[in-house]
Amino acid sequence: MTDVQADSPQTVARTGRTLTLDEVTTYLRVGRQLKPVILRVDLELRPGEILGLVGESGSGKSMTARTIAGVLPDGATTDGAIRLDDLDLLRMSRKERRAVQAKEIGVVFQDPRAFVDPLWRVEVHMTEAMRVHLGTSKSEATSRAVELLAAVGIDQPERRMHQFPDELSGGMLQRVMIAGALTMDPSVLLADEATTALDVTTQAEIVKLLARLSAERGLSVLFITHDLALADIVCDRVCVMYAGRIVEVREGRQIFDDPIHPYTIDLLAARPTIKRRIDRLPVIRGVPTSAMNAPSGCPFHPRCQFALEACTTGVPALVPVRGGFARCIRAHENLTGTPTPADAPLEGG
Amino acid sequence: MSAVTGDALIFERDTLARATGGRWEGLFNRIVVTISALVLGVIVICAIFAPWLAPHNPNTIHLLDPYANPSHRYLFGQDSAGRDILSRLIYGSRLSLLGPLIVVAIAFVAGVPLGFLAAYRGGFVDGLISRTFDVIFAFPALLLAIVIVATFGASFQTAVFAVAVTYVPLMGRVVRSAALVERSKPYVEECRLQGYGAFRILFVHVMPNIGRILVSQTTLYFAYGLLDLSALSFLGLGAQPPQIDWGEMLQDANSGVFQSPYGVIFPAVAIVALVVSLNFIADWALDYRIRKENRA
Repeated sequence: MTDVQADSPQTVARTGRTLTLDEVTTYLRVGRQLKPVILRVDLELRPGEILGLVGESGSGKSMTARTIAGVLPDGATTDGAIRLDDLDLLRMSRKERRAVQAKEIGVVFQDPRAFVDPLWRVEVHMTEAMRVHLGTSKSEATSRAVELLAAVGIDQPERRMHQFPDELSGGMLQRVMIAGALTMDPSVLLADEATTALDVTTQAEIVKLLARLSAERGLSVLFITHDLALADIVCDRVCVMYAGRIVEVREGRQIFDDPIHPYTIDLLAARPTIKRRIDRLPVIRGVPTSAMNAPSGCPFHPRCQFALEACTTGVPALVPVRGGFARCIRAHENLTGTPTPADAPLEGG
Repeated sequence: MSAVTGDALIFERDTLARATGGRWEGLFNRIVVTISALVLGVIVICAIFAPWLAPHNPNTIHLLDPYANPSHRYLFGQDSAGRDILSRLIYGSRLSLLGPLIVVAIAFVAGVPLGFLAAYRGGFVDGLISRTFDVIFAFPALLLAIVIVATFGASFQTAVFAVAVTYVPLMGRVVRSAALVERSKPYVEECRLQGYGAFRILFVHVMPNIGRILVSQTTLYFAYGLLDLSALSFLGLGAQPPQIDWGEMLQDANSGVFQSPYGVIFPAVAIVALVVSLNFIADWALDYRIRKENRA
């Protein structure tokens, strides 16, 4: 076993874990009512996989990450099951869950500046978790931290350790946050818009870094973004969310070449491209809706160019189609088309 | 291009000016803070080295010279019993500093954890703590202190305890609201994600982040505590002779204010000087990091 590893340092020492979401629904407390933000979300994040979660603002992608991480606003409740291999995170005591998550799930958010305690040096941020949870000695934790900083592509890691967060650039700090999320050697990394606040070149570097970490460490990454092009580049599989529900799941590039769900079709058609020149990009009529305000029936039907009478009653199931899944009653019909212009009348709305 | 640079420069200058209050105001502030620090320093030195600094025994009575005016032997004059006012002032600084110090220490040690608990736990615990604070707030602080002293008997210790009781909710409430703001900040969320316990999050991460508020409030409460303790002593409910504090000196001089104003003026000036200095220093402490950030 040892020689195998020595021969191929690229393969990982640890085996990853599978994160499964089983019909997960999260409600937020709004006034005295509970309103859903994500609805019956099924996900499977396989070891070493980069799974993209795309959708508009309010589609529930961030809430999905927050639900997994257990950092929801006060008064929120979650139904269903979130399993890490066989461990159900929702059937544990708070303390147990916190311990498991601290070890197994790393989280990186959009704005690194806000998520780091500004009064402590990088050193403290990087070593605190190891020292608290594993009782690692200071020197050992420091050397591991330096190693990780180097692994995420930070030059002069020793010097960075002694700097304060405000002395680092945004891209540098995001690398520190990623390294910080990896100190406990988690099997899952949730990247919630982790590259959105960065400029395009830095974005590309961070994305490359995530892909490399995933390949080298067997780290599964849930890559949440609203940037379809970015998802196209990094993700092994892509889930599209709309109004708190997953509406399409596809392997690799399938979703970009051959979208099934009308929402995905419209979304892709609305992207600018350098291949052809258009005066005006097609838009999806109407406004995005969240799970809270979703209409009855298929939540997309008021905006859908393919909507039928049947779409107004009953939420369609996620059905297997062409090597993926889609939540549409016309999923098997090979729908194609461009979205209607913005000024077209909106049925029933 | 040059217009853009010009705008940027103006913007930078304006931001700086706002933060430091302009060049002259900045200089003025610095002078005021320096003087305040000097006043505080002199009083602290007086308190520590009282036996060496005081020219006379503060309790030696000269019944033949009541209310004597300042003279070369008794620089600040003599009080109703002919005691040296300067020496009493110097010795009085001891209790006048120690009293408020104990008050803020108690307020800090009890108020900070209670405020944290209320903010972090929320719900029932928050309600319980906050409503208890409200009940204490419902009484005028000094009146409550007088009731406590009246119940337990007048002494320096009781007065300090009584004032401290009224300062715990003050401190607790400030800490609660500051911690509530911090609690919702992303870095606290990050701490939770890292699996740290409430104790670590609050005392290792939140507390330094509200440090400025804590320092300035503590300084301010020290000043207020001095005023309250002096008031209690003035009413005869605080330090009892032969203990000396400035409030007690005022009480003693009060009846003879028309014979000689010095017994009132000097302790009064000492109290005001200390309170004002502390206020300036508290202000400075609150601004300190803003200025530091601007310099960087």
